[in-house]
Amino acid sequence: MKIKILTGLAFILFLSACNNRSVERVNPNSQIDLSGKWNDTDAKLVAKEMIADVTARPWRTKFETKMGRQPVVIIGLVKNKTHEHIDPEVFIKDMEKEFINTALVRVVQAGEHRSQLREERDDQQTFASEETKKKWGLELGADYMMQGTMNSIVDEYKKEKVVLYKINLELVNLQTNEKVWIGDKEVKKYIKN
Amino acid sequence: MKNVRYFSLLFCASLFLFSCSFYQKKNAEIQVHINQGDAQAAYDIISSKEKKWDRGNNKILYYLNRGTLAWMLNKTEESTKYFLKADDEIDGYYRKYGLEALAFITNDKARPYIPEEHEKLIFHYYLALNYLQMGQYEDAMVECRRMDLQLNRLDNKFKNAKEGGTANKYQRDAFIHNFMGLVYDASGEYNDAYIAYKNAVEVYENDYKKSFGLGVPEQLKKDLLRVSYLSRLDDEVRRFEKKFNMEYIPKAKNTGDLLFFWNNGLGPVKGEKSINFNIIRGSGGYVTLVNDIYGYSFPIFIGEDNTNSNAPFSAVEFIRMAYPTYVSRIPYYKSATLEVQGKTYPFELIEDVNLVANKALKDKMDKIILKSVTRLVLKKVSEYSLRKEDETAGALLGIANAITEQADNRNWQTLPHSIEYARITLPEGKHTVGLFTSTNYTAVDGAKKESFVFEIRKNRTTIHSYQTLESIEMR
Repeated sequence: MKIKILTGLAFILFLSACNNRSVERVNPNSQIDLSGKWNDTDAKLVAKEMIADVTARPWRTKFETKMGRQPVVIIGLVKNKTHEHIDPEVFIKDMEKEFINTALVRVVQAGEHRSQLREERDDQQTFASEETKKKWGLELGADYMMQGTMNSIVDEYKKEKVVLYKINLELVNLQTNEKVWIGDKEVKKYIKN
Repeated sequence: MKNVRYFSLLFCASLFLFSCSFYQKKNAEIQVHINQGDAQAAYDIISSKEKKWDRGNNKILYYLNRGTLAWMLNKTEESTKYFLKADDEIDGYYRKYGLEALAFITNDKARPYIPEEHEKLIFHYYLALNYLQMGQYEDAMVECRRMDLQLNRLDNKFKNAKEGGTANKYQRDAFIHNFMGLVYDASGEYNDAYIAYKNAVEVYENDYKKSFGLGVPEQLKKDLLRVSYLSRLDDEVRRFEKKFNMEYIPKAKNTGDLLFFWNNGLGPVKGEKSINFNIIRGSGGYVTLVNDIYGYSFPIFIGEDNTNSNAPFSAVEFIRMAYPTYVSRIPYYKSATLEVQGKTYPFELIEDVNLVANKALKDKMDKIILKSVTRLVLKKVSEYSLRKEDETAGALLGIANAITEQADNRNWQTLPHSIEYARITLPEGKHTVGLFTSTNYTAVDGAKKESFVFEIRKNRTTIHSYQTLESIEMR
């Protein structure tokens, strides 16, 4: 009898395994962790905290007193040295946004988007009217570059896993290569299957 | 009467589940094509009717096979896409208890396919090759780090069996260590490469030599010497020079490397074998299943009711159990060489996938058999207790049980039989490289298979991979 009940139960469970998909809208600021991998929430949190730190440090006020203006920053490479395929772009964009929102530093475009701007300016030299075309050599030169790495350490056994992400950022003076700020932020996750 | 209807339903359900499915039928067609060396025809089959492929318990196998076939045809982006889908599936795999229960009362094929240990590792090899092909070195290194995690998982699996020294199991993979080294090396991360190469040497020496008769490849020795030097580990350079009886020779200036991976033939296919057990009734609710040929003896508790004289096993003398086994496919080509400007360079074997697969399966055979035997006994008990109530229903369940007694014969069937490689240092510039394949082991009488043009850059590594599918016999 027991066996029969078991077989029946197994069969019902088998049928119930075919699940239906449901979708609902959620607030983009809400924290949702599914797989335990690096996600948008991590990128946002880390960017926010690190930018808050970097703007509060003395290098900025020193620069302002000396030069009489706000420093200009360019975000360089953030190298992914973790065990996950993380697109650093999301993190870089979050940092740029946080920087600009503080209104304490100015940020200039970097990477391939900058090349696109230059292409457009090049085009304007031929196609735009004399009054509206933008001139060469008037770009805002950055004073500092932000560079960084993302590392991870994984410790796992059977169904338990601890992942530590460590994000290191450095702000370097473009003229002198002097490091004016070093910051790091850790995100630790405990994942149980 | 109610019971009869219920079990007829179960009977039909099992017939339906184990009749020839879309996957099995199409997969058989694909196997015919790839055995003949026609990757395109195989790809044409797997890339049509996506909706039918992309569901059910064999989804992972579909992703893996499609990823591999696309890789063979240089559809790098597509290949990456499908490997990543497989990755999500493997990573996000959680046991559905319904399917587990069904698997327990029928057979393992009733649940989603979980890749074998060596498959989970080689999978990263393909992904890394794709990223290298697309010039994404950072992502290729991510794959290396994931290989490392997977190697740890594999090692942990046998931790308990270790007890001072290795358990002579497939517990470490030398090729994966070596490959990690090659990727780090190509990306200029010499210290990481040094660690990986050093581990690879250790595993080739201690595990691969004993298990597969495969010692440390000559190229690996040279690579380890070079990265030790580049990591400024002078003591290590001297130590390895002595150990390998080999001198470190710096590379000529204005040269770069060509690193060529040759995936030869096709890996084994899982088949099914049966084993018969005699049933010996004991006391206190126990029966013992015995097979003298293999030396198996399993005492199993089936409950007091079932060991008395009217009980299930009184009429049965033996039961058949199905278990999976590998059938090897022998590659048509036995050796190959690369030819550049009249000079020939041999390939070196770094992974015998065929042997590794067999070893990995053998290592978990005891587990498979124990599980199958328990299942078998439960099936028998359920059949006989039903028979006591309703003869027809019991008989039907008996037939259903016999039909569903199948081994899980699924595996990743587009893997190569073996992986070989060659590293050639060439002067900067364009080079025409010929690949010569031979049907004997000494690489004489090699015929030109294909010709490639590579742009070699100074101090950089150009990586290429190539697959020959042709296989001659099943054994």
